[in-house]
Amino acid sequence: MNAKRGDDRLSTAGLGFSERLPAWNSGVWVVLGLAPAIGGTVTAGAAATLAGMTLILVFTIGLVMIALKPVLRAASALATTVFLATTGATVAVQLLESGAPQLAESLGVFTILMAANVLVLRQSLLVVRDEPLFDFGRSLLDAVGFAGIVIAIGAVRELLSSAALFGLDLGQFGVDAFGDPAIALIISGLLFALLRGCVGRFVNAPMGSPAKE
Amino acid sequence: MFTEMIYLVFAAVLWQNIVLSGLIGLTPFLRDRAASLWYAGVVGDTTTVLVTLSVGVTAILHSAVLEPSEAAAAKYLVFAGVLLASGAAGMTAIRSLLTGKRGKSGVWAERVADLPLQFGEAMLSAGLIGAGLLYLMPWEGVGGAFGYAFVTGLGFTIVLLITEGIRERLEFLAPVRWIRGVPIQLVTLGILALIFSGFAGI
Repeated sequence: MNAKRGDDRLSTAGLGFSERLPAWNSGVWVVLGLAPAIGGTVTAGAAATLAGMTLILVFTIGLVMIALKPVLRAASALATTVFLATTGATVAVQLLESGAPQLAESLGVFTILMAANVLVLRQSLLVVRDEPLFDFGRSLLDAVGFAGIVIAIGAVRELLSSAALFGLDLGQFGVDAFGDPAIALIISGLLFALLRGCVGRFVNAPMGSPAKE
Repeated sequence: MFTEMIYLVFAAVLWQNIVLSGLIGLTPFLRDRAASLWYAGVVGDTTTVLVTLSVGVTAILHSAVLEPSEAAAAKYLVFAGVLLASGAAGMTAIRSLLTGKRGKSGVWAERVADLPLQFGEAMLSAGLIGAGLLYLMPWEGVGGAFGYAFVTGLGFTIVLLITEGIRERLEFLAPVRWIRGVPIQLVTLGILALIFSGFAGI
């Protein structure tokens, strides 16, 4: 089953959780994609590495899904994306551990969690919808937006915890407690509030309407 | 042995909670509007079952097949396959159960409509949590894998229920527009994480 651009509901049998997802609200995808990455924003450099790797994964998987579109059924699109993403993330982990072991240790488990990043899984929609090149371009722009947010959170955390930016010391005003995961959540929330206050409504009803009892 | 198991349960739920300490599995918490506690409960329970099953089966295959053949890196692919298969099978089974004799009308028919969304969130959360557990592999033996996965899912479910309860009240209080939804949810999670980290001193 294919859906046209402009549809606000996707009725694809194979993409269960996206049946009621607003398909073209980029803020939805960026926010949902951010969830696995908040933990990897310990420093701006680690955040930039994670964001860059996610961007490469989104780009590569998008191209592969467009190439597979003529032969792939909608019902198997999500499973194919999951396998491609898992393979890509596993390869990325191996490369990072051999090429930059300190960075790999800093990112830890969040490198492999790129495979479960919603931005990557969204590439399964390229098989389902009618205009894959347009969708591919939009997904790349979403990944760029995601990279910006992740780097911003990492930069703020690094500044507050170690008074440094991308490893460059900027002073003695750092407080170690700001490196705590709990503070990462609070910083992320406040940054989102600031963004929303500055640019208007940023996220519009992700995951459809709430269930009612 | 029994005391260690009790300690493990408390640790996984409180000071080593996968969501609040590890920042893994945050996706269901970033919904812009509150869902009901029923919805959150189904997502949490389904995540626990899927994580336990997927991580356990992957641990069995990892020790029996992957490690002897020096293909340990393929554990994530195996996990993804098991998770997708069990999630799809579970949703089909529950949907057919609920749309059977009971489900033609009333509250069960409404709940069937939400199943794909709940299973989608649960599978994504289970994928995140399971991938994290497989990266760390803090257990010894296959039984340990099932146990760790179960208590981790339990900790996730408890935090999800707490935050949905808080979120329902926050929506009622209607904070200023720019902090509604995702921002206040993240700040709430951060404060909860600080509270839970205090249990580590016990």
